[in-house]
Amino acid sequence: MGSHNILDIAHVSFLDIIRASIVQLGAAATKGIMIRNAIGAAEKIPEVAFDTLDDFVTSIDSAANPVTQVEGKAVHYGKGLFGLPVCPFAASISDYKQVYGGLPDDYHKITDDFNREGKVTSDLKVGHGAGVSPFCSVHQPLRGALRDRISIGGKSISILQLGCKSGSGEKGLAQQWIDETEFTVEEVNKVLDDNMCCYAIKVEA
Amino acid sequence: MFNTDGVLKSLNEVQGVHQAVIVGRDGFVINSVGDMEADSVGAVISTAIGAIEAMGRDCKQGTLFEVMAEYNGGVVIAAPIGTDAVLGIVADESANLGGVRFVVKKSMKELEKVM
Repeated sequence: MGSHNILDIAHVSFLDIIRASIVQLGAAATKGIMIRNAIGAAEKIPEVAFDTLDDFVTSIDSAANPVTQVEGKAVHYGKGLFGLPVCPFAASISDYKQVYGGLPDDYHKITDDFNREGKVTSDLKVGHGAGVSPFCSVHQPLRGALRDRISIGGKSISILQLGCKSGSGEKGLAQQWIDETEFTVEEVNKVLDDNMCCYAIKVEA
Repeated sequence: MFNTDGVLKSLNEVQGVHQAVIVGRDGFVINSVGDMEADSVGAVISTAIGAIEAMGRDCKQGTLFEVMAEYNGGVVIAAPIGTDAVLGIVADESANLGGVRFVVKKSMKELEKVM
């Protein structure tokens, strides 16, 4: 529920449309729609070139950072490891639960499908265990696709989704992407202790 | 990549066929042959077949084998390949529908083996 006990009906409607889509089109097709929408949204973000990773981090505070603009302010733990304290869908989930008491039963089907081996999730380095809710199918590909809108030191970057935490505190880790970084499972878990989302940014050689 | 090139190529060689595509259930293209925008075709085929399956389920008609939609410009055929993928064919009005469906049916056996 938003401020002054005013329910944001846009949140509730959005979550209901997802539920209806799962029933009418299937979980995989719904997940595909969510991912395509996310990629489409990322493509509309203006390109930004940073000189260094430090410049990228500094731009988080002023929200001049494309990633910050779509998900809020992340915390940098050094060497390109980031934690996001607040899930951008937290308010939507909260509003829906206020009305219905919990998320729809079918929602787990999208999460399960998102975590399976898939062409687009492999390309964007998301999912693969790091999905903890259907909204990860929007948030993670959106952030992942921003790699094409950001350069650091004139070089392209990759954004790897290392883990995520649900509202109930359950963690999901993407071992495959963790293995592509210099970070350990313990480090990722530690970041997730204080955050809802953990990702790494690598500047390509 | 699955070895589906030969099957899709033979489907695309049928008179009137413009696109033969294999997509995941999420609508992302696994492989395709043809002269159309495969990503767009794949996305709509995955959502369409999901809706058609839901219709069959709610009407208690069982498992879907194939769906064919006829338009004044031609046809779109879609058929599930196992549980994870879908074959889609787009053909114009010059296509021999019986011929297209025969090749689709024949190809399904090969595709189910390689997928």
